[in-house]
Amino acid sequence: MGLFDSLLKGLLGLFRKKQASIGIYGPPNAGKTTLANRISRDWTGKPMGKTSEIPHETRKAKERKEVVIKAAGSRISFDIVDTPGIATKIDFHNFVEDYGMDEDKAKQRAKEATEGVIEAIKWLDKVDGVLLVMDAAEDPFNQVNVTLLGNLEARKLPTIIVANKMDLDEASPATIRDAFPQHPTIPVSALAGYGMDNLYKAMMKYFR
Amino acid sequence: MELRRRVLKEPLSKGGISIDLISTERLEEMGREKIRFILDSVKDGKVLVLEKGLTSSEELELIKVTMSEIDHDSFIGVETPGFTGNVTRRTLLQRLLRRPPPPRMMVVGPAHLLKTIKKDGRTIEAIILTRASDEEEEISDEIPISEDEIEIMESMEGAGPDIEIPSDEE
Repeated sequence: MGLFDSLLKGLLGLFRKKQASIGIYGPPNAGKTTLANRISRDWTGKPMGKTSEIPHETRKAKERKEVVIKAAGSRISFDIVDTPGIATKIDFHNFVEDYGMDEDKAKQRAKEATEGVIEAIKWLDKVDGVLLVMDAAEDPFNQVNVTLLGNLEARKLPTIIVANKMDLDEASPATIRDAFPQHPTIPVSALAGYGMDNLYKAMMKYFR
Repeated sequence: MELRRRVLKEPLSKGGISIDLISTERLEEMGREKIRFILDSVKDGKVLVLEKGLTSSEELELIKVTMSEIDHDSFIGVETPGFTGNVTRRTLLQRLLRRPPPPRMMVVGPAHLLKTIKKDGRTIEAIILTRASDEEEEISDEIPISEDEIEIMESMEGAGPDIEIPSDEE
C-alpha cells in the first residue's frame, strides 16, 4: 500500500464513524415501543411497531437503521433497536383473565414472549448505548430495572434512564432520579411527546 | 396489588413450602452450576434464601434460562426479591474503580408462590402464598350444626321457663 493510499484510508476513517446502535430496554408496558415510535416518527416519519395495553406486545426486536437525530447543534445517525420487555415470569393466565384473550392465543403469546426476553438479552452484546425506559408511575426498584442497570454498568454501556409516562398524575420522575442518581434521568411522555427535546439533547451528549 | 395464587403442579409443596438457606460457601462451590441448582430447586417448589446473591450478569443468565424453561402447567418463572446488584449507592472506591457493587442477600422462588409486595433500597416485603391462604376465603363464620344438635334444639323448643311479659294495655 502506497503512502497516498494510507493517507486516504486514514482520512476516510476519520469520517467513517461506526453507526451507534441504541437499544431501548425495560420491563413490559414501560412504553418502549411508544418511545421507539416517537423517535422514529420524529426523524424518519415512520413508526417502528404496534403498541398495546396488553403486556408483551413486542415479542421480537425491531431495528430502524440510520435514524438521523439533530439536536444541540449536532447531527448524529443512530440505529434504534426496540427490544421486547424483559421479565422474570410470564403466565398466560394473565392474558386470559386480565385481557379476555383466547387461551390458545394467550399460550402462544406467552411462548413468544419468553423467546422475546431471550432475544432482548442477546441484543445487549450488540448495542453501543441504552435507553432504559421506566414507568414513572411505578416503583423504580423492580427487579428487572435493577438487574438491567447492574448489567449495563458492568458492560460500561452508556445509559440514559427515560422516566416515561410523565403525563400521568401519579408519575414521579424524581423518585427514579433519587433511586439511580448515578445515571442521567430524562422525564418524558413518549405518548404525548413531552420532554423529547431534552431526550435528544441527552442522546447527543451521552451517545456521541 | 391483586394476589392470585396460580395452582400448578407442585412436587414438594404438599406439606408446606420448603425454604432453603444457602450459604455463600455452598453457592461458590457450585461455580457455573449455581444457576442450574437454583432453577432446579425453584422448579421443585422451593424458596431459596441466598446469603450472598447473584451478580447482575448471573441474574440475567437466570432470567434467560428461566425463559427457556417456562412451561404453562408447572413453571411460570421466578420471583427474585433481593438487594443484589444494588446499583443505587456505591462506595467512592467502587465508583473510582468503576466496579459493580458485590452481590447481597437475595431470595429466589417460584413466581406462582412468591410475590414481592414492596421494595425500596433498604426494605423488601414479600409473601409466600400457601394453599392455606387460598382456603381462608372459603372459611365461613358459621359453625356447622350436626343432626344431633338439631334434634336437641327442636326438643328444647317451648321448654323454656314460662315468663309473662307485662302488656302495656294492662
